[in-house]
Amino acid sequence: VRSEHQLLQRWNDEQLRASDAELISGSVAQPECFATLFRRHAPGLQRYVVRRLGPAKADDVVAETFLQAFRHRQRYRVDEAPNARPWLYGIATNLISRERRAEVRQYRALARTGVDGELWQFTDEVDERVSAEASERVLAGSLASLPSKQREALLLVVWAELSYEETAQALHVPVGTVRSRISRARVRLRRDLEAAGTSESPDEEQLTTTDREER
Amino acid sequence: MVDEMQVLARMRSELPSDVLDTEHAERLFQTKLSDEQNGAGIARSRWRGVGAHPARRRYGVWALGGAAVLALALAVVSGLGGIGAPAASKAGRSPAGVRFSRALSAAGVLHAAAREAASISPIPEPAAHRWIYTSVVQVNDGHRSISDNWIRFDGIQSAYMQDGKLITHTVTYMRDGQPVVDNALAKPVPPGTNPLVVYNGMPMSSYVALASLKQPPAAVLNDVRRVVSRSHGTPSRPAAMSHALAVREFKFLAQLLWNASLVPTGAESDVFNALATLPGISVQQGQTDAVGQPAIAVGTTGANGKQLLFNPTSFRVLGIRSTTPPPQLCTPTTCGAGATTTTAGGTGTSPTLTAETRLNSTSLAYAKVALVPAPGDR
Repeated sequence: VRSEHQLLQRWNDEQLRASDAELISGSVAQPECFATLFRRHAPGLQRYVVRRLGPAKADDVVAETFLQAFRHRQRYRVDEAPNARPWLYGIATNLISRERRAEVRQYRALARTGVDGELWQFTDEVDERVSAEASERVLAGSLASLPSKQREALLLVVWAELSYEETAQALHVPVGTVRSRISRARVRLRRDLEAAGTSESPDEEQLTTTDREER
Repeated sequence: MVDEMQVLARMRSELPSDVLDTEHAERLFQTKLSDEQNGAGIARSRWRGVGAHPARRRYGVWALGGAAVLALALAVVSGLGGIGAPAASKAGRSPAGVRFSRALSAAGVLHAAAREAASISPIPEPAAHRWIYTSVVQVNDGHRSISDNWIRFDGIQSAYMQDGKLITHTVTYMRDGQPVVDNALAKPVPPGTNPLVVYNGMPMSSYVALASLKQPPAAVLNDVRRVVSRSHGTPSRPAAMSHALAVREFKFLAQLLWNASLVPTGAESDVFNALATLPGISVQQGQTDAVGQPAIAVGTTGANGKQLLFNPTSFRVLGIRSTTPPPQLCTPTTCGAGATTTTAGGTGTSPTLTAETRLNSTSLAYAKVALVPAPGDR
């Protein structure tokens, strides 16, 4: 029993140390490797999808993302992409785009009422969210009115915390395209915030990683 | 001083932990994968479709799963206590199956079962005179049998097949030397009476008792505790009280669910959530239900144990299983109403039970439940 346990332990340790690419290539012959990939990336992906669509649809989108990934794992370019995040978030982005109307409706509701009803309806925190920052309400309105391609790029960078290069991989576009989409989106957001009187010019110290990267 | 990127990063950043739990997504992934690999997806959705008979739709919960559920078993963790291993891939599973290593807790299984139960379409309460048909699969110490049963919702009449003939039985009591139909069974619970106290095991009584449960788990258990304490008394040793009560509460609620051929909206989910809060409830993976499907057993083990069986992938409830000491070892203590659950070989209530004692096991599953016009109809 002990030796079997040790064998299992060693196998689990190896799984945890393996890169995404190793897990994906290994899963072709040994499908259970994919479970480790799920465990590694599902929490972050779930968080991202919840932020975009709310919890009601998140489970299904996350499950479908991994199903599609599993289905196409043999086509994953192991040598070029050791990190699977862009691949997974790209799949998820396509799935989320099918729910575009629902997503935009949520942003509009948040902008109008200050309550993130779709997201928080199952919690006791609605009252707290009523006093959500005015700036967040403004941005919700902005997100609703952004072209979907700009919104996708922007949220992959800010909410999924992908780099510009990773976002480009996820969306299958050149990195320059990502830069321009985000730049245009930021202009729109900034303009809306300024129009609502809820934004001031950022200090140099407060520039985000994204700002520096873009410059 | 804020900028648009900072505001955006903060937006929806504080999320409740429960919406970030990936357990349900994981199960969904496994289910989708199994369905896809076995072509069972269409059958599943059709089976749960709008056109299905209400009782059948509801009682997919207890029903034989057929190809769809068998397909789900391909991704099941079995036999190794939830530890994933390369060796398992040689054990005859689907070559493309993805196995998730997770040591399941009883509470985790029950919460998952509660979520699954909550997703099932509700059905309205039938009239007292409606007949319910049940096909029950029973395995008693390895011997499997299937029986067809009919019972009126109020329980006044029941029927079964014997030698190809339908035998009908009516509940009566004697008055002035004459049998009188016990119509009291069809009467509603009087105002001010706790339905759990007058619960008699018939479908309608069980339905009403389940409907009376209040929603928070603590409230459910509070109601049940009053009933089980009344019927079984309270253990004298305070240390044993918590566990003994938990065992009784589990057994009471599990049996109530089984007896209620039809379950009110949300009740099953509420019961599972309540059971998840009980201490000392164990989980056993790698089990099979009465039909032979893979199952996870959650409940109390040992003599007089009672377990609910769940599909290990979808976490739908499959059936119920009871264990009792062999007849020659039955005493009022070990087999009677007041018997507490003991583990064979443990510090049990009876010195006659040892680790070698072979317990009798009875496993039950509903193969089909349906509202029908008359006894004999299926």
